[in-house]
Amino acid sequence: MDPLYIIIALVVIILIFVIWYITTSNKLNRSVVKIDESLSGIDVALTKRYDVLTKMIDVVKSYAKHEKETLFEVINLRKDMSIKERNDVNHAMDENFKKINIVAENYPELKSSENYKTLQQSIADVEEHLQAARRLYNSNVSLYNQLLVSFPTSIIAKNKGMTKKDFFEADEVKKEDVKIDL
Amino acid sequence: MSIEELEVLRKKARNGIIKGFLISFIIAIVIFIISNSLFFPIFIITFGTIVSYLTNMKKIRQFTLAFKETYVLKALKSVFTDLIYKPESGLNESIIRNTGMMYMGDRYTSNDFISAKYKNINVVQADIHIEEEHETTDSDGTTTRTWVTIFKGRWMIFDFNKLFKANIQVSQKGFGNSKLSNWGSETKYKKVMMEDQAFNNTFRTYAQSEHDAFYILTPSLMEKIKKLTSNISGKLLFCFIDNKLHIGIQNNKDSFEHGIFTKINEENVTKEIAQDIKLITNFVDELSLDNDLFRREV
Repeated sequence: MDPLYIIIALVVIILIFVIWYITTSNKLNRSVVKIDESLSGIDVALTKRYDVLTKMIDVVKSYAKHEKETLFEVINLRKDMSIKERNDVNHAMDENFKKINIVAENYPELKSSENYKTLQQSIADVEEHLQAARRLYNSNVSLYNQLLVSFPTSIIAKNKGMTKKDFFEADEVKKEDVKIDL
Repeated sequence: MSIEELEVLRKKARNGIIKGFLISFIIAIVIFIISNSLFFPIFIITFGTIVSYLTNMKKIRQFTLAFKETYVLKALKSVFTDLIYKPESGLNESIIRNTGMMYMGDRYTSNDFISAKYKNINVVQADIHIEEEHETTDSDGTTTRTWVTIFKGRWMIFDFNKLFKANIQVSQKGFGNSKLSNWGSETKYKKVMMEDQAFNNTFRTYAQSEHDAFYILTPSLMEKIKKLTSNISGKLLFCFIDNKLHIGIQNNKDSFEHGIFTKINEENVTKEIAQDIKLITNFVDELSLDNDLFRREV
């Protein structure tokens, strides 16, 4: 066989490999960018939830001044939290919402106040946004994780040191917040 | 108007057309006997029927309006509040065009405009028909123009129970005539894959913001849309725009109509109209559009 043909064949094979490598690598990079984007959606939703929670605690405290036992958990929202930390913050918010509901049960005038009702309704909307952000994030993570275990993409992912990402957990407790008696 | 009076109007319109057809048929037979050719007789029958239909348009219109005034309006009043019903008016073309979901073709007609409230939700609907002119030239150089239907069915607009900023388009696969386009829109539409694979298999989803697509299309809403789709004959599209939900149903039907060749059967007519109305109210009921839990913001 003519050595020239062998060289051309080798060049073509190398070219195909390089194109495939670049394309797949870009696909993985895009997946990471999408995950980061959707993670910022979770942060926005968590911040909104935190804001509503803070307002609610203020309202509850103004009605239940003598409620000594109710100690709300301190929540520290900050940038660059890990998924686990975000989950923990979310759980802490759930606990506080539970406590608010318990206190509200003992203060009918609080429950019937317009301010409290409006905040309760806004919780429902904030929860929907959080659920949307969570579903979008988890959907992107799922696609990314699937790429990581699919051959031959897994070779490039391993080469780039990419590892599986954690899901933002669904929380059954949160759903209780949406079911509000008005 | 009583059913007897309506029947008189219907028969007047029907007989007018039949007369025209019979006269042209007799002329066609005579010409066939004389010329022994089929071309002119067929032409005369076709031409005669069209002329007869056009000359009786006033009578047909009279019957249609009386029918709608008697049966449709009454049925609508029993279901909706704040009702405006205009049988001869329709939705403005720009409303459909602005959704960006429909290729508007060359001819647009719309009728049976309804604006009302159902369970305190604003509802607007009309029948719409969009056609495109097609030109074909045969080997002899003869050009034939035909009108091809792009969309024939109903268009409904509902208040949506969530506030959102970005537009979302959901169209059933096989909805052959929607040409989703980014032209002219400030924010580009992106294809969105929802986590519900069955939903993705049935619908194409495009959104200006992925977050808003997930915010609006909750797992529960996707289930409801799938259920509605399986229960409705025809193809569906959903467009979430300006805090409204637009729904297009391409079923090749003209709703709230009664043909002049069919005798009025009160029971059947009432049933058919009720079904046409239920198609509107079903969306509010099934999609729980009256649930305003998410409408307020702090």
